[in-house]
Amino acid sequence: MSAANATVEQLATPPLGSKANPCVVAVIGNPNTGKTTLFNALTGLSQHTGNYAGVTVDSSLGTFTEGDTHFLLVDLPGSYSLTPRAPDEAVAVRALIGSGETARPHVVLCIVDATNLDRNLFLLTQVLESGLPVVVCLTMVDVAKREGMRIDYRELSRRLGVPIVPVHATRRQGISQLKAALRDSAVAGDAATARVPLPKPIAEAVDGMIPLLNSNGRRSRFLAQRLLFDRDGFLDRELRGEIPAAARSYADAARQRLGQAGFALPGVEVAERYEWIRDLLSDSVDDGSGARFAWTRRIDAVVTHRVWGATLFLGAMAFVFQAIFTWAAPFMDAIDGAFGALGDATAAIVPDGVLQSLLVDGVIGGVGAVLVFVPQIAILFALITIMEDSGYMARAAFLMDRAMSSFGLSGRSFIPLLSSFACAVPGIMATRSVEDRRDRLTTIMIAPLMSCSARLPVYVLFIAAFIPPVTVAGVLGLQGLTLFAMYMVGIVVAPCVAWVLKRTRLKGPPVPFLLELPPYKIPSWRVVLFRVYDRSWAFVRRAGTVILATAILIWALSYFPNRPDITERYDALRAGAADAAAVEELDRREAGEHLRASFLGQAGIAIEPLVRPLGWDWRIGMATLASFPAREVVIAALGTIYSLGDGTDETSPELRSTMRSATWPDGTPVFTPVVALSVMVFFALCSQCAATLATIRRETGSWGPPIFTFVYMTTLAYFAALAVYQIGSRLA
Amino acid sequence: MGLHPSIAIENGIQYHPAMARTLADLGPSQEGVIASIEGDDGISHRLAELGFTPGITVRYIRRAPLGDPIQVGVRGFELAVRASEARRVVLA
Repeated sequence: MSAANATVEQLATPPLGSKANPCVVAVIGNPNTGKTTLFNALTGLSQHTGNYAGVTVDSSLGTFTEGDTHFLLVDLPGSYSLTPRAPDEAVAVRALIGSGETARPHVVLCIVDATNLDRNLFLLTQVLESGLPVVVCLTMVDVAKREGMRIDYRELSRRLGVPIVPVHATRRQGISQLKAALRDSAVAGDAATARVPLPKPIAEAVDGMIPLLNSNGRRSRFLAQRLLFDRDGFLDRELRGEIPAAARSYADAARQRLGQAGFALPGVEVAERYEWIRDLLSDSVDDGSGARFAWTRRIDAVVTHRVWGATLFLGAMAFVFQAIFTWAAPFMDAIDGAFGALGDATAAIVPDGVLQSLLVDGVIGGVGAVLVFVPQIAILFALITIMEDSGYMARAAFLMDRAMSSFGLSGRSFIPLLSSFACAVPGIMATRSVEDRRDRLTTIMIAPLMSCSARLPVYVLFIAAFIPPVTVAGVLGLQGLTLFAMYMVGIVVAPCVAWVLKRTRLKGPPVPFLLELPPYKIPSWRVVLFRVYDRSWAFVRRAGTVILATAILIWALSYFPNRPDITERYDALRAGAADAAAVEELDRREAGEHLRASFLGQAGIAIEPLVRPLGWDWRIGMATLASFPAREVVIAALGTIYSLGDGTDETSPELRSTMRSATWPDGTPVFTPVVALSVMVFFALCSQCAATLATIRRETGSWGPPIFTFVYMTTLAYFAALAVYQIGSRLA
Repeated sequence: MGLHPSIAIENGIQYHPAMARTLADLGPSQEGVIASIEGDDGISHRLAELGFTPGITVRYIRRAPLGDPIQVGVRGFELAVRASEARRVVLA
């Protein structure tokens, strides 16, 4: 900030670099430059994902101190250019400009990949024009050296007029020098001065625009320049009305005039910068042999090969699936068991009644239902991070792009959808790598259609109970086929939904698919472990609070009004019971009757006319309502409603046989294979998961997408179940 | 090398500027020098920003198993571009 900007308010704030007023460092760089690794090395565990004031997408924030100076690091989205092509990219530019609540950073840390100087310096030349102090961090220096490049850092630093610090983030070399350089820059506050000279007519157009902006100092020149190059208006929109109409029309007219004079923007800007960079590098860098990354080429000859690449890809996907289901199982059982034991222990201490029920069924049961997914999330994120950090993920997107583009998405959406087979929550979080806003929203809204691990117990219960274990065509088991078909329901429906969304609500211009295929490297264990910790904890914290509240609500609805007349009647019956077994049977029946009389049970009876066409009775309807917080709750709910009490799981033979013998008032059985299919199809398509909806709300920043997702999925599920029952029962 | 239709045209008589050879017309492991980038929209500007500028050599590495996108090399790094984007990169 220049002294002229100082106001009374600013004089009253604590000194810059104190804990209350830390030096803000914006971290910017091309994608795949090791930005995350560096961010982790600088801030360690003192970072979190949060909303930086005014920035709408989540950015990672981190803190560190150097000497007695406090720093706040803001990780901006990876960008190739400060001329935005998408709303998300405009966020990075806006952060450098500063607007509204977002203060301008004190220092910009620009990450430059030493093995890819041309393209990385392109962004740097734009950042240098920001009028802010700039520090360059050079990554992949060791790789560049191994590949035969020789870089004259001192010459490069002199020509660019900014400090350049080479680092090896995974080995933590150069980190302390980088921190010192950031402190020195923050203290001195000297803005970078190197400029790519622009052709005179363009420079004059920038000069003419400055007085039209309500800005001053170095910021105004940067702002004028960026607006002039922002032909598609993304930056203008991101700045939300800060730009006066006069400046806007001036920029439009200037671009047109310049275009006619042979200085078409932004094309001329790009050409000038690359020319300047070529001269710069010819003086400071010896490129070596030129044949770089021999290993990556050799690996790619297999990994992106027509036959071997596709085979390897299918193998890798099968491995991920297998790992999520088998490796996680013992941990999930352990967590389940621990919460069960905790519930039993609590029940032994707390006397029977409202408090016991609230603690055991509401709190412990609700929290346990969330935490049981942590092992799957941890394993999934470990595997995804390994694939990302090694460079394989970009190849997976490359292999799948053609298939995804047939329904309007790109290869980038593939991994989030794959993750959603474990759990839609991490899948939705993984959509951050989808650059285009419309593609990202579409991916978020179809991700919950992938059959997640919480649907599996529902399928297992109904298939075991109602699908006969016969063989079809001599080899295939009908039960296995049904399970496969349930997974296919989501796989078939999701592309159709995406296709419709991309043609209606989320229609937009075609998005280019320009995906960098970075050189392969050994994944950093620090990055993998940090991501697993970060994502697992985020899941526990965010979803845990929401699902806990919902679980308590559902508990209350299924417990109250807890009519005393029912309790009294059963107390009298129990007094006359012959043996312990008879008492137990009476306890079960009492629980069932209380549930029927509860608010939730009453709601189930009220909606029976609505679910009758699906072949369901009020009990299935009620269980479905109760399973709003989490699908797998339907099993416990069915268990209770069929008067079996607690301790029911999908493999318990009692639940299966009781469900088989359940009848309508006229004596015909409730459950037939067709009804079972109708229930399963409903659960395959519905969005009965509070954690997913909360995550969608969190990731999109508004209530529209989760509400839309819930409504369309529930409607789809209802009509699909209706079709299955109505057609199936006529065929049967 | 007469596999690609536009190469066949180029080797024959009917060469027309509108049918200029593009990055999409190269075969595996072939190289070409960029003459210009077609179009004046966000996609062509992004290609230029990534380093697809006149005079630079581009390399067609291979196609994805499903036929699209294409793995290409430019300025010492590799990226995936769809054929529709590669057709904008006109070669000399």
